[in-house]
Amino acid sequence: MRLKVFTAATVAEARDLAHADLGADAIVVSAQEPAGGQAARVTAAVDDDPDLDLGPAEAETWAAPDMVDGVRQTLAFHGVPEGTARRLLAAAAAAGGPDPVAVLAAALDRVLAFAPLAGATAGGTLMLVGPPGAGKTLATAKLARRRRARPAGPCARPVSADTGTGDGARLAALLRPWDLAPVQAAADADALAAAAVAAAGTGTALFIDTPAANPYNARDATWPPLGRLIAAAGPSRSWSWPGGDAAVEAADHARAFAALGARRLLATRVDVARRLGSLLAAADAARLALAAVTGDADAGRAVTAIDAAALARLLLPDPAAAARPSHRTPSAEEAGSPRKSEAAS
Amino acid sequence: MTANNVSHLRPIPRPKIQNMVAVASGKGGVGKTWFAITLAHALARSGRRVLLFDGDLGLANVDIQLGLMPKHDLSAVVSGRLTLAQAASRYDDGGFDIIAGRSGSGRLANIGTSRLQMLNEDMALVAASYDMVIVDLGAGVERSVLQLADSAGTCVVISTEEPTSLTDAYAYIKVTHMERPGTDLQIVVNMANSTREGERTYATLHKACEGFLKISPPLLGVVRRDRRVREAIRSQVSTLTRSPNTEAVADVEAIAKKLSQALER
Repeated sequence: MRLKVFTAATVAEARDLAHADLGADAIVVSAQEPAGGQAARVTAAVDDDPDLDLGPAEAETWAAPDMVDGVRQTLAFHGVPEGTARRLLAAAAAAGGPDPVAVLAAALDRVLAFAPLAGATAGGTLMLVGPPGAGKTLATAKLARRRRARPAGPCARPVSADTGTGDGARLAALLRPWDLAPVQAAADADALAAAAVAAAGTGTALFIDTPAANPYNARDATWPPLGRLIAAAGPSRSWSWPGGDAAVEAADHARAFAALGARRLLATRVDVARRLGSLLAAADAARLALAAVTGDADAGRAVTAIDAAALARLLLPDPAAAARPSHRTPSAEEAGSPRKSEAAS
Repeated sequence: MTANNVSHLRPIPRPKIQNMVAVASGKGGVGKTWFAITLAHALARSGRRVLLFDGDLGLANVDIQLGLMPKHDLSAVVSGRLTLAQAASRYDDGGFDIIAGRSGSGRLANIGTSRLQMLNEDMALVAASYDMVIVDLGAGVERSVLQLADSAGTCVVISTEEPTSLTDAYAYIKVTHMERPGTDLQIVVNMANSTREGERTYATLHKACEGFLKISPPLLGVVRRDRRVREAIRSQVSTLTRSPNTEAVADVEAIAKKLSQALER
């Protein structure tokens, strides 16, 4: 709208001036009769852009409400803590796009870190640490077997630094079918350091299983030695996360093990976890790079590397997965809720 | 959720938050932020639980006008570190809560429509904890301004007697009417030399709205010009605290009463 003031001897004359200048569509929005020697005054208006076009609704992608809501519901289903969920939602909304998996993957990639275990083993050692029952021994066996299965690359040597609970023997039993090098025992940090030194330069990759440790008790007999073991093993160590823990608990554990030196996160037992919120909580809280998942008690089954897209597929409902024979039948409780597809293993 | 039902859409009209009042102007410098603060303060003094949301993204100045150094602001919400409710700070002198913005924040100035949509959704949740939420919008008729006002049950458009202010207020009314027909638009004439002159200014704007848009936004009130308003702003104190007996404050209190009564109906 444009406004213009016209003055004349009378209001009628001012009005005529306005229409002559602004056209017949102009309207007089105010008029003052002449008074006190002042001329008549008319304010006229014309709306010269009656079909104002605000332009395309979106200069950027408009994340459709159902997309954002869908991601929100998915994160809520998995029990992702509020702070992490909000950042993921903001990133998802900013990413936009028509594919829910791609949108969530973009958000995960932005908020969380991902790094493959393959890189971790290139330096010669990969140590798994974690609380009791995290599945470290089985995961160590799987990783060692995976390395052995590759025709090229370094030899795999499993090492058990858990010499007091019989897990060394269990590791050996798990690996027996694959003709791997015998499990090397490392009773303490010095022995482990010696093993690492011996392996260095020989093309042998060490896969080190460690004793379970309670991160809440610094005086726990296992905690200080674990720190020394980590220092002795070298740069590559991962925290083994048992699927399904409470998110807050997982985050606390992750921080403790990260403080001890863990850098990557290997998620175990995802086959028995319906909700993966604690996985995201742990990775986010401790800035651990998500590396891999595993979810089968069979040591012959692989550890699956995970990136943002793979994690998005795990988190989101996957209609295609429903057609697969191995897919879990959703319970009544799950009906209508997002569910994760079975973890690849 | 499948890819099939996800598309690039225009904003879907959302339900109005009846206890939310957006304060708009089109033109800057018409006393919009002052009005929003004083309105929030007046409502709080009448016993309402009030939240003042600084929606002038990127050029926020509610906290500046009140001399506050809020611990949290909207940028923490946009980055996902805080919920909207957590970002609220108590303004004890006024008896109401504030969600501050951050002046000069590129992140807020360039916030995307999708994020704004989420903010609106969050606002609906937060508004449930208050009797009234006042949103101080930025100047202009950009889509971000319109979108932030989209959920408000009432949109108060501020104008002064200046022709530029009138045309910009009209522009805001026009685009809002075109985007969301039926929006409850009400007009406040600020910095009027007298109530009568303010009503005359309203009549001018009203005539343009009737003539061109075929709508009749009502006059919510006229706020008379008062030098003590400027003094309060310079002192970074609410006018209701510094000069509670001014005509301008009385005018805003009358407006607050009208809004309260409308909410009760």
